[in-house]
Amino acid sequence: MNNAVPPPTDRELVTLARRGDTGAFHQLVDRHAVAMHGLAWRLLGNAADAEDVTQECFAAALGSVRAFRQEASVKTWLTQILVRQAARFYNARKRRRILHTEAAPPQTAPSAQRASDTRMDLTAALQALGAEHREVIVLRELQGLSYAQIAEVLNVPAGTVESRLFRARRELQNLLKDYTP
Amino acid sequence: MTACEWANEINAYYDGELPAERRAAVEEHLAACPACQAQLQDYLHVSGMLAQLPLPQAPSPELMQRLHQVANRQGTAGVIRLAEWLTGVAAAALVVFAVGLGYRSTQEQAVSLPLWETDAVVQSTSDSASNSAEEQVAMWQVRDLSQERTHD
Repeated sequence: MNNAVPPPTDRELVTLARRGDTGAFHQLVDRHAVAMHGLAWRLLGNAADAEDVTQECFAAALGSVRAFRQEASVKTWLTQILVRQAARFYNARKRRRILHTEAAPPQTAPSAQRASDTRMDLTAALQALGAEHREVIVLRELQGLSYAQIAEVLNVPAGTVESRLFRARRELQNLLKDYTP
Repeated sequence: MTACEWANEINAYYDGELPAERRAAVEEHLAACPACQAQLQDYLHVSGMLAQLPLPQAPSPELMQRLHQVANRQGTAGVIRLAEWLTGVAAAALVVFAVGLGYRSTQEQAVSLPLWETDAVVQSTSDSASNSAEEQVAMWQVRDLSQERTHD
């Protein structure tokens, strides 16, 4: 006979965290850190920035857990926070690069026919996309979210997601035109 | 190749976001439109490239430690919130006490006038008193004089 207590749901953990249960927030961190870090890594293109943004995401989540009305899932809520934090971080990074003129132009031509170069070019192309376009490409192509889920995360209508994704794909194709068969 | 007016529909079709009847219409169009066929191929190609991207690394143990430190702040935050609440209550009590003290002092001030004010009033009263005394003396003198004339 199995008397094991089922693990608390995300919603239950949020409810406990709102009451000041530190352990509940620790469990939320354990459950979602990998996914949030992966998304940050996709959006920002490197591990160091992804770590900073993941930390900012959980700090912001902790700060706003009392205001979270649980209309969206916990994962969607965290994704919303992370995408916002990543956009802020990306804009700040872009400003710093403009100031210090350190920005390397995206290398989209096939520098060599090697998979590692292709991956580097792809990463550069993703980073060269406008922030809104990068968000929808990452959320759709790499995270596999539906239009409705992306709309919820970005707080825009589903029709906007569709048209934004259409334009984002066109921009990405243009950046990767040297790879077009 | 010029983009077909169905281009946006191809986008949603590729993502499997079209309802069944629209999907059937797009498939019928696709069969006869080389531009849309090429667009679909481009989408497949870019998706295939994106799939080559390495999977994100797992969070480092240091990051996990930092994230749990963030979680620990919640406990500290609770204590800080309580401290803030108590400070607020104490400040409110202090304000109420200060206002009460000020009100009481105003009331006392209204009853007991300052020395310079009372002095002035006393002075002014004594002045009027001395004036009326002089007047009284003058009146007596006038009366006395008039009586002397009568005797004459």
